[in-house]
Amino acid sequence: MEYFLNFLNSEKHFYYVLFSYLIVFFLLILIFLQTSQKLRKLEEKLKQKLKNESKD
Amino acid sequence: MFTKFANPNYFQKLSDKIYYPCFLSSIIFLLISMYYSFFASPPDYLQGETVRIMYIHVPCAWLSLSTYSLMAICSFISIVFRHTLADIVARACAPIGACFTLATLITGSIWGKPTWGTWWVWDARLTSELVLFFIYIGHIFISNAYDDRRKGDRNAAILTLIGIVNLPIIKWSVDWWNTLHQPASISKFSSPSIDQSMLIPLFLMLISFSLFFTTLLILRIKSEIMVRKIEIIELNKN
Repeated sequence: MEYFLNFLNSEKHFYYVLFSYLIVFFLLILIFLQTSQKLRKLEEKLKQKLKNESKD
Repeated sequence: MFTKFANPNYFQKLSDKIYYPCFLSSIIFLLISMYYSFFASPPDYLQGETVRIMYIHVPCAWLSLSTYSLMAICSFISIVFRHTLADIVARACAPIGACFTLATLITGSIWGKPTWGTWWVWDARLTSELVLFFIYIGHIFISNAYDDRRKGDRNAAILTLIGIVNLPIIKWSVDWWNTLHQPASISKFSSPSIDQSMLIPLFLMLISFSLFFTTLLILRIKSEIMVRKIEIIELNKN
């Protein structure tokens, strides 16, 4: 806990560390959301295609 | 055994089984490593609190290189054996590798400001990492530039194999040239020059990021397989 409190009080370095973590997590979350959204859309499209194919 | 795993249908069944355990364990490892990074690891005697950037910068850098190695292996298999799954994996790897490389460049730049006094220098390590990012972007563009997917995959594979020259340059640039970037602190051939209290969060974060990489890779491979299935259906229709 002492390390963390010292980190919070380190005015000079706090923002450098904070923004590094925020940017990395933002990038990782962004690519994860983009990937899962793309997969969901493709699943729906494939389902639709298969349905249409079985009708034909 | 290789052909069994290389079968897209078998691969999809296997990936469905390992996706959730992979994702959950990456979150668990992330939480543990965050605890170790901020609560159990001391500041550096020279760099102070900014050393905590290392716990995300280094795993991102390692993953940017290992993703490229995986892409290069897949590109080789794709060119020599013309296996579809190798193309699919290489295609799936490129955006993830680009993302980790971008994260490496940004966190490195942020770490550089308080440590070196500048956001960016054109030294060998930083420049070669930037070149790696451009190769990833090039791979993404080339693989999507053709109407014929196979042509795009083949040209992207050639680019990846040419770009592999950059990997040893990134790895040993700090030894070959005089750079601002510090030399490797963790080596296979000698004991690490980092204290145990800093090594633990570093490796925990690496495990977490690797598991997250696997999760993303599974999702992207599934997407690529679906794109190809849709294409086959459309071709059969026409």
